[in-house]
Amino acid sequence: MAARTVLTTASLVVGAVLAGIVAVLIGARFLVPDPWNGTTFATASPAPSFDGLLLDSGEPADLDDWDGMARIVFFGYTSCPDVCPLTLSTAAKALDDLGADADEVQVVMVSVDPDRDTLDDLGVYVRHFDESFVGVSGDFETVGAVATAYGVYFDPQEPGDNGFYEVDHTATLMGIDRDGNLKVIWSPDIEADALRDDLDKLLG
Amino acid sequence: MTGPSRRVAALLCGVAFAFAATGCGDDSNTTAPGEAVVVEDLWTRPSPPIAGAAAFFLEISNDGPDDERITAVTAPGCAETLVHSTAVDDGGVATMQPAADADLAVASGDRLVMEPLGVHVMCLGPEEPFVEGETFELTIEFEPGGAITATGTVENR
Repeated sequence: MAARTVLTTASLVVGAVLAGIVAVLIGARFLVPDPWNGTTFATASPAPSFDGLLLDSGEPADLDDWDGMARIVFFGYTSCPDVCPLTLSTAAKALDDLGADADEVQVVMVSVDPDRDTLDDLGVYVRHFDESFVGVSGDFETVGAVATAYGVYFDPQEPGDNGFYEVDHTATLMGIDRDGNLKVIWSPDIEADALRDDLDKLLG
Repeated sequence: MTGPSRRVAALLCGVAFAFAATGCGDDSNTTAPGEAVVVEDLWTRPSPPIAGAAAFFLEISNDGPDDERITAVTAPGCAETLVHSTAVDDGGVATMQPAADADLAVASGDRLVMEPLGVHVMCLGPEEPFVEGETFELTIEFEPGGAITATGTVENR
């Protein structure tokens, strides 16, 4: 009988602890604001400028030209077989899902392969994914300075026997809010609907 | 052929090598169930006209008795075709390397999945852009099994 009482008491204690854990978990879910799918900056700071870079049209690139819009900045190149088509395709799908709000988002790809990517090629490349996308490039040193300001690493590899080379590069997507502040970073494997949800937040 | 039916054709087009596979729709390419290496779900994205490279994704299942190894890949319309691997580190830096030996092995009973941001077949210097809804061919040579030619679809996944 005593053993049974101990057992019952133990069961009650365990049950209460479990109920408490569940309550905390449920509470946390309701109390914490809907998290972003990307990683947000604790403090928003102005996105680095595109000083010295050119749009694929040949005009000077100025990030401020898109003030009032949300912006996605991505560093990539036109000979990139896997990650760049994936991320640009994801961005295009997310914009499609946004509907009319897509006009409030500008996607920009900065070339990390300026010696091989001509401005014309960049334009053709990015607009394959979406007519609104623009490419940006410049000389290697200027691209390097802008990349560094964004915390982006890139490193052209040694060409193989066929002359082809790849460019290792930071492949995250960077979200800039309407005021020009760098707000969020997305991993290249972000899903289109998750990106769309974050773009909704970014647009406010 | 429409997109969806082409997709089905590609899926059905996984061919076994016991009889020196040459293509789809040829009954001589089939083997008894459980004795086949099959290439399926072969696809690539629509590519920009000036793209310097494209990536093919696929799955290979080896229900045959032998451990198999990919020794070569070839595709018409690609200046060069090779198995490559994308890796993305915690900082979001993407690097590409020729596939490691382990990425080329398909042990008996195993399944090898080539997918975005992982191991893939890289088509260098595509002669023509890959257009959504069209098909393309890829030949994979296995050791000891032999060659398989599979038909894939161009899809905006």
